Amino acid sequence: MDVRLRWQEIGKTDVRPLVRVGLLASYTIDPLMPYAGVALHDAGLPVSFSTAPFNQIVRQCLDDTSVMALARPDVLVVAPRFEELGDELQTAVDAAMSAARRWKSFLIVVLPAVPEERAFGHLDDGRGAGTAAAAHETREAIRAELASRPDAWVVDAEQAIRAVGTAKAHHAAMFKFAKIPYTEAVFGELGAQLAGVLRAVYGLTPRVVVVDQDSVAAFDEPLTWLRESGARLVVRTGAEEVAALAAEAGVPAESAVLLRLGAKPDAWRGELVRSGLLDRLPALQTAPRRTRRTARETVSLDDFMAGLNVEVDLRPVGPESAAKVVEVVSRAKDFTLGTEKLDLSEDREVFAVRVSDKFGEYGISGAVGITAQGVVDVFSLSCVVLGKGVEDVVLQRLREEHGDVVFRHRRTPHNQITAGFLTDAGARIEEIP
Amino acid sequence: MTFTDVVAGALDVDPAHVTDDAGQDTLSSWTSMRHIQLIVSLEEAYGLSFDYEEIADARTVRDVREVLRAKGVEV
Repeated sequence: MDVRLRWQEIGKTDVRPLVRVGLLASYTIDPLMPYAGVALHDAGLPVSFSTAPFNQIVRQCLDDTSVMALARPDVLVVAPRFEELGDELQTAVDAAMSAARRWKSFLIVVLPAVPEERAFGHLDDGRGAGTAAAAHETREAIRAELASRPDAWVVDAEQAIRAVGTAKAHHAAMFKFAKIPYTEAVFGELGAQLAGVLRAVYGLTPRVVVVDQDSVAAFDEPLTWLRESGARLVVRTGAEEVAALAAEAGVPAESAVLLRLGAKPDAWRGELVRSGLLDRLPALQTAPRRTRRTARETVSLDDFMAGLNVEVDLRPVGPESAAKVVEVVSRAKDFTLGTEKLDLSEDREVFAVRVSDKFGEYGISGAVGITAQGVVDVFSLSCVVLGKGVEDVVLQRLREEHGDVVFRHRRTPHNQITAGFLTDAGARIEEIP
Repeated sequence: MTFTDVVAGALDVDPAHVTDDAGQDTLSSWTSMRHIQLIVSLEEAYGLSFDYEEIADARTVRDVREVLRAKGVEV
């Protein structure tokens, strides 16, 4: 909790971000921000974050007018999961690599964790067709491909989950509610990994570790780990400032840190890993190189959209769908005309929007309502179906059925993309306070 | 940390604004992401977990308090 509160407080200061980080994920990745942001702030590398709606990696990366493209991040972090993307995961990484090249962003891919659900149960591990083997093969192909690029790196969701423990890594209710698959502890681990990579990229990995004389004996084992990692150790005999010791060692002040470890020796190794003090660059080519079996060209945005096989079904709201429609409208924050509550007793036609694509059925994912005067005052879509062209289909159907309708729009702090969509589509908009 | 402190911290509001009637419709800072922060902050503070319906239905401070009380937390 402290980290989240600190991130809030940092956001209120006038510290100017030195690095703009873009986050794209197949899930809601916002909880990562406090952990990476605070760690980097403390390392002297203040960052700002921009995000795009979840599960839009390919579209955001291929469309140079997308939210992320316009943000032009210095660092693009892409976090796909097998659970959302399946066989399309490699396509998402390809698109991210293409975008990073065009936008001149440093690319960090979060290697996806091996899914918990195994296609063949206890027998899954024994064959290459199993979920685990296929996932590992994809993961290693991504790692190998990025290892050949000077402007890319990976962090590993599998490692983060392993650190936390599988039983404490997932939050089923939060995933159902907001497509957040992981607990805060996992985001904490991922944030530490991300911060470690960015510290290295920007040359801020701690190079000198200052140890108080009276701690040397107590920290015998951690000091061994640090020596093995190549860290330079400076023993402080008095109360000298760390910055002064850094100057004596010939390194910038931010490259020296005072070793502080908690009261639990069992936790020291983890503390050192999270602090970045053990970070060092692996020698090139120490791991077996893997390459793809076949080279592929990056898919185009049009091809990708066509390949989704999105189907949109509009049906009048009936007793069986009324409650769900009201819930969807009340929860839609990003794509909505500003409708807070939907009163189905009012005099208007309301249609439930059902969506499916190659990944599955999304059920009732939106609603659209139109008055007898041809004013559309309800047009809400769930985040889960954004970026699939659903809004275009609904708009087209409205125009086919009702002609050039007017959209009654009320700005909220979150529904800018709705106004942007309607403007781009040349729709008539009636702004209301 | 008191219940009020946890709620005020997660929603980034003055503790004086954490009244039972305060909710998503009255506190502009109670956005969907802040709602998630509120839930995880409460889970951490009281060592419990919310299920989907509890997360979705907690739209006011009173709602949140009732969920916690139902779980045996005196707030």
